[in-house]
Amino acid sequence: MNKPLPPNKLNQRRWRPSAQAIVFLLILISMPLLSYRFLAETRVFMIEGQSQAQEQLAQGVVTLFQGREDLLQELPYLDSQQVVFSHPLSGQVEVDGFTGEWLDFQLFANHFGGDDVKDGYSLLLGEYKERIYGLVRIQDDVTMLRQRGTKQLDLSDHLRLSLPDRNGNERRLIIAATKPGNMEVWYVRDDWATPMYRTPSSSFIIQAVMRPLVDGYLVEFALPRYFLNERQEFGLAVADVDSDDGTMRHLKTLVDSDTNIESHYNLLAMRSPEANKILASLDRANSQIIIYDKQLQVRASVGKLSTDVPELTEANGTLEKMQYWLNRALDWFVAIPAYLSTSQEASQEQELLNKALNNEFATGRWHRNPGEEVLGVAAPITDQEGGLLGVVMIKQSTAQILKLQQQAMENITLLSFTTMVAILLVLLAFSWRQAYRVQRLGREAQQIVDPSGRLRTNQLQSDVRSTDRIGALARSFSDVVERLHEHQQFIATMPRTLRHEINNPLNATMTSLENLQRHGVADDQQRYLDIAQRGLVKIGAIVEKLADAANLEEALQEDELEPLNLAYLLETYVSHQERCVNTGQVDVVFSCEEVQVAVAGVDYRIEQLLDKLLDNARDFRLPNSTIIVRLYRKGLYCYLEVENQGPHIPESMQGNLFSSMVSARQGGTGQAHFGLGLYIVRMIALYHEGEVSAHNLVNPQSVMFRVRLPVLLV
Amino acid sequence: MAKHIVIVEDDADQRENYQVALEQRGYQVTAFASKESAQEGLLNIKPDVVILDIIMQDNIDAGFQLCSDILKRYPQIPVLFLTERVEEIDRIIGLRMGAWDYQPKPVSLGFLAEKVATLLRLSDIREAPQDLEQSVREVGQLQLLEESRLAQWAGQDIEGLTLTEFRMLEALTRRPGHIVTYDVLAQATHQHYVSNNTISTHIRNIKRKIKKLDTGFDAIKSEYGLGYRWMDNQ
Repeated sequence: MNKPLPPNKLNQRRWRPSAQAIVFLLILISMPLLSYRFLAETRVFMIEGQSQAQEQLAQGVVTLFQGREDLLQELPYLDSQQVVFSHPLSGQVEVDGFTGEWLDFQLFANHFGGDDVKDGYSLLLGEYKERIYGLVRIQDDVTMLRQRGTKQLDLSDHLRLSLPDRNGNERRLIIAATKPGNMEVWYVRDDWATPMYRTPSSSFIIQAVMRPLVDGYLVEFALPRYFLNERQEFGLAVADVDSDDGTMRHLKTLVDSDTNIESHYNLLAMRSPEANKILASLDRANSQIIIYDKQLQVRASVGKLSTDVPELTEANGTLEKMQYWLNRALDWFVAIPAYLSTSQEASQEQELLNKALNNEFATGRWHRNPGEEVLGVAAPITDQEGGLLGVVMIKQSTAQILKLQQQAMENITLLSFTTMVAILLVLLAFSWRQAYRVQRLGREAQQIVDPSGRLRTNQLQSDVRSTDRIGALARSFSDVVERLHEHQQFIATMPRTLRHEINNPLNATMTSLENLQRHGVADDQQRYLDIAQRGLVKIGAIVEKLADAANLEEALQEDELEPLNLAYLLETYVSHQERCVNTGQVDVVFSCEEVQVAVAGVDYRIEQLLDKLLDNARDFRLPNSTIIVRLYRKGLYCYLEVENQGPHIPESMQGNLFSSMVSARQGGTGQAHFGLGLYIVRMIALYHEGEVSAHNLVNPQSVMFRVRLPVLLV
Repeated sequence: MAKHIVIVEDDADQRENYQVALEQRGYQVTAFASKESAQEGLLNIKPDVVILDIIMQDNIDAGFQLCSDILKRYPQIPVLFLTERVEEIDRIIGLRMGAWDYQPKPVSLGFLAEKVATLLRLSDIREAPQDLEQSVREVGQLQLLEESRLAQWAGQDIEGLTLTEFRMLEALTRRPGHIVTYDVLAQATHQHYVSNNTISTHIRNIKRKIKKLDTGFDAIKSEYGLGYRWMDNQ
């Protein structure tokens, strides 16, 4: 025999999650983690691969420039000329007098105008596509602006540009400001003072903007590349005029001389066109190849470091806003936690260049912008003898990789989140449905029993065809219900069957006795014949009572509820009871303060109910005690009470007192009792939409049966 | 010439007792033990009264089927169901099929003989009503035709009134205005044991049948716990 588990063990079993659920949960959690780990590994792998490819590319570039002194040393300029290098700009420069576009090149600015920087100027040149850009920062304690209408152009601070054309003719231009902002560009004669034309040059061709500074002023200008000759020569001088009569004029030239500047042309050393051609074939996205000479001047470059990944912008539409904030949240949630390098860009780049200048192959990484890392390789370019010619620097951004990874991470997160939400919804729907099914099963199980405790049907409908565990439970329960129903049917039809089976032999016996009597019996035998006949009548009465109780429910359906005055019915009934007993003593008393208590009922059924209650009260009352029948109205109900002094109803019987075949009577009452009386009372009360209850009372010890019936509202 | 009574009853003891009792009262009795034997026997016999059990052998509706066959051939023959099937629905079915009365078992042989005599008398009356001098008892609007066991309310026949109901109505109106107890009414049913509830059911049926003729009928008053009273002012 199995030993039952103690309650605490049962509880542990009940609350232990199933192994399937744990495995399922672990798979759910591990899916995004594994994806993240995979992505991280992929990122390292890709960056390493990118770095190696970059080193190989650097080697290739070095090979291309190996021994090319012609490209890196023999610059086509005169000895007397100062070389100014232009720098590749990453985009078109806005000629506005601000230096934002020039920040990357400020280290390479050239200073002119003497040893004293305070009295000189600095120059930065850049190029983008077909335009040359310049940024000139002039130290000047007094800034003289040109007066409008003045014919002579050398009476104010100005810039002098000397541009030899392709035929060797010199073009002279003066850039002067009448006010901060756009400047005038004049073609002038050889005297650097008289304009050649009556109006300045079109600002569409040569743009120049002046912005005052605390210690001088700043000029940003742009001109088309075709203004230069093949040698890309140009001359630039800054004329500092401190008095409006022009007497204190001081020229700051590109060469370190303040006299005879007209004979000197300064040279704009553009990047080597041939070297650029060589590099052009190596151009690729997100990478920059720069060829430096020994002086670390840029001689050629290709490509640029920029992320082509569009940044998130806040949108206007509701849907777009939701998407924006979702993306922002995802960015935050799955942000790449740390960069591979925290080195500063400029120092790291300079360090690489220095190593390369020392004939070393150098690699490094540094971050440029948040979320963007730069891989750098610097390699020395040497001549045939191993002498240093220059340096090749390759910079490549990992932004694309990181951005792709970020996007992949976002996609995986979104997918994981969506999948988890979908799974959660499915689980919720599944659990809701399971709970609903169990609830429906429970509800049906409750409704299958009527208020009198009898089964209404012989099977369950809910889930009996389902193939899962709930279906199995429903089928098991339905089987139990079916068996109980069969048993109930058997019990219900038993009195009827009993009557059918008994009535035939009873009738045969009774008619036989009658025939016997008709043939004549001796006087001393007649009494036995009478006893036999009385016995048979009793048997008939018993069978009839059983059948009546069994048929009561069907019989009630034949009855029609009619308005009744219950007070009158009870008063009449009780008055007839007194007459019936005829003992000279009041047997039953009726107490009611109401004259009219209307209910919807069937009078002879109420009468039957009273018969049963009074039979019961008489059987259990104390000898010579009076039975009280009471009627009162309270709210929407009236209460009919029948009370008798006598022993209390045992507690063990109170639960099923109104069930069929339940009786507390002891034997020897001389009457046959089957415990049907109170069952009939309950059936009649229920038919009248009422209920019946039994109460033990004290002082004096008595029992009261109370029938509650709804009052008929007129 | 003795009246011919046919009894169809599958229980041999009861069948013999009925036969003996009725033969002693001068009737010619032919008894059958099954529906089939009765169907065959009745091909050559035209009985004056037929007494039928309902359940015979395993056929729970044998009596109803036999009744239907007999009334198809002889529509005027009085048929009495004598059965242990006493549910209301059985009574209704039996009477609707054309049976003249419905008597539950167990039955007193004296009552049975009396019932047979009544059925024969009714049959004679219905065959030649002009030959009969009816004694009519009038109680208000109610007329009881004693010989034909018919009742009328305000000159109209009360349809479907059974012999038992007629007798109860007769007992009820014997002393209008006086209470007729359940015991007195029980005797009118000619049954050995009758509960108050059975009597109340009969009274309910009587009321329903008269109310079909007069919806305001209210002559039968319940004396709760004791019996019924026919109101003498009706």
